[in-house]
Amino acid sequence: MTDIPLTIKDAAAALRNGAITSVDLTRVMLERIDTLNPSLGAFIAVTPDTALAAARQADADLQQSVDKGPLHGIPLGVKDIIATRDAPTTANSHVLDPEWGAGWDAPVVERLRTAGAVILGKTVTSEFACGAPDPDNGFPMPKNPWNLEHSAAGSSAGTGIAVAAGLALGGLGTDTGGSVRGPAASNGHTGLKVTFGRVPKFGCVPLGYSLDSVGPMARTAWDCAALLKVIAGYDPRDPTAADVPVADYTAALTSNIRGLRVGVPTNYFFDVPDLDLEVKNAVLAGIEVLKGLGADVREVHIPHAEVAKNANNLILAADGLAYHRDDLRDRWQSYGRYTRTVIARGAMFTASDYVQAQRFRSYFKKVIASAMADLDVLVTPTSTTPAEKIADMNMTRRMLGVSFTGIWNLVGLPALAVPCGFSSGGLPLSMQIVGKPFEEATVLSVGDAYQQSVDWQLRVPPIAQVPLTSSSRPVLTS
Amino acid sequence: MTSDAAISVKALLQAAQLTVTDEEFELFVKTYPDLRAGADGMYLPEVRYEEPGLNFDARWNTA
Repeated sequence: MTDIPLTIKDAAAALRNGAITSVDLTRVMLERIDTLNPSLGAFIAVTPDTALAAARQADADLQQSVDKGPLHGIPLGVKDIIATRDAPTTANSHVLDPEWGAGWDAPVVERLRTAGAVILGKTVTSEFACGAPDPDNGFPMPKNPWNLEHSAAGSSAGTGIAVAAGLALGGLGTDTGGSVRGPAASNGHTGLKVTFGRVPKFGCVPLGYSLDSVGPMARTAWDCAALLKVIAGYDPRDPTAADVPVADYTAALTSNIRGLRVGVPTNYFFDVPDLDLEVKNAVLAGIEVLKGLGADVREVHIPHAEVAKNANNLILAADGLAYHRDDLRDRWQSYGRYTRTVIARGAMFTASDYVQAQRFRSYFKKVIASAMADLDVLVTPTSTTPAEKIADMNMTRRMLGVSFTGIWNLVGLPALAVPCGFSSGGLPLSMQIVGKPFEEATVLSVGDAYQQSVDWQLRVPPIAQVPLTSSSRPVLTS
Repeated sequence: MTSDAAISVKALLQAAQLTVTDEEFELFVKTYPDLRAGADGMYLPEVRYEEPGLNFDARWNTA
């Protein structure tokens, strides 16, 4: 991967200074997919014809000084629960109606294409964006590019792998309880769970109606900002989309966080027994970097964090069961074994539990507003451990275990997963930067400032450092 | 002897019309007490007078 830009920002510059063309860049990505996808399980469908057509158009546009912005000519992947007109949407399930989403683009995909992006295809997801990667369900099995015996996390595993291994320069995931941030953490890149309603989710297979969000995944905070700038904004087809002005997210990245108030929760996020020491130390070291950049770091107490995690899980399971119940009743065996139990968990709760979870949610929103009153962001670990071994996957832990991500879906806040080191076993570690509602620019600014001081986000897994064949390797002019 | 959790899980799955494998039934029985405790833990005194975080708009031009 030495000749090919690692980031959207660098690729955008290379496309404009003539160092590379979009067709060359797209061909390299397609070849990498050919070479690595059988081992990594990142893509379920690849659309080379439409991708190369979009790349040719981007090259022609840029040559004529028609510049649609930093995504123009950039190859991206789209999670396979988001409708795209040129590839089927399966949700990696045998249950979803094949006609679902057929022949049209979700608003987020429409916006990417309008911005000149090159859509390479559909990336692997855990079935219906929940459950866990299942080697037996007949879909590509996503594997961690840093160690194939380890999970790439989920549910947006395919986009996460594609970004980490250079099969795409960025892409879309969705996040209901951590499905953008988990794969970003496990695969070693950046991923943003947006404020609820920031990005329209029409055209996405639902999981938790009041928790779901579509978010950008890419190597850096700057790249995520470039993606967000395009996909954010109101769309009337999503009843939960927020009509809130879209900031110029890339322009907001000044690298200056002097005086920015960073809260570090003393409870739950740093004191649960499940927290791996290497994760904890890497995040604390990351906080020291922020301090060195001039951030005002303070301790903060977040009451009821574990209850909030439980409330998010309950709402997710209940919403999911409402959507899937009849199919689960009639076609239990057609669902993957990990998916069906995670969704059927919703049957363990009562209607009043669901309402109480929503009442707790109202209360917890005030708790967080109060805790963050004198803060700009919170910083926590993204996950408790580095990516788990696939062979060690444990459904009890999946149903009941500690989570640092779903809490922020419950209160709808933006949260950015940022690489902050590697474990002694060579697996990526990640910290989470949580902001106030619709303050994506602030969390991206903190992430970007941090990434000016470190290079964790630019590390490339050994499996992805494959030589390209001479036929497809572009000739670089600079 | 069938545990209380097993009785509850069996009834809840039946009410939802779901037929699970034996192994899956055991998973639900094993996790049910913790799931139940997690739900019960949301009934906090502080939440007593909160409105649920749900919105419904009666106007006909909205979803």
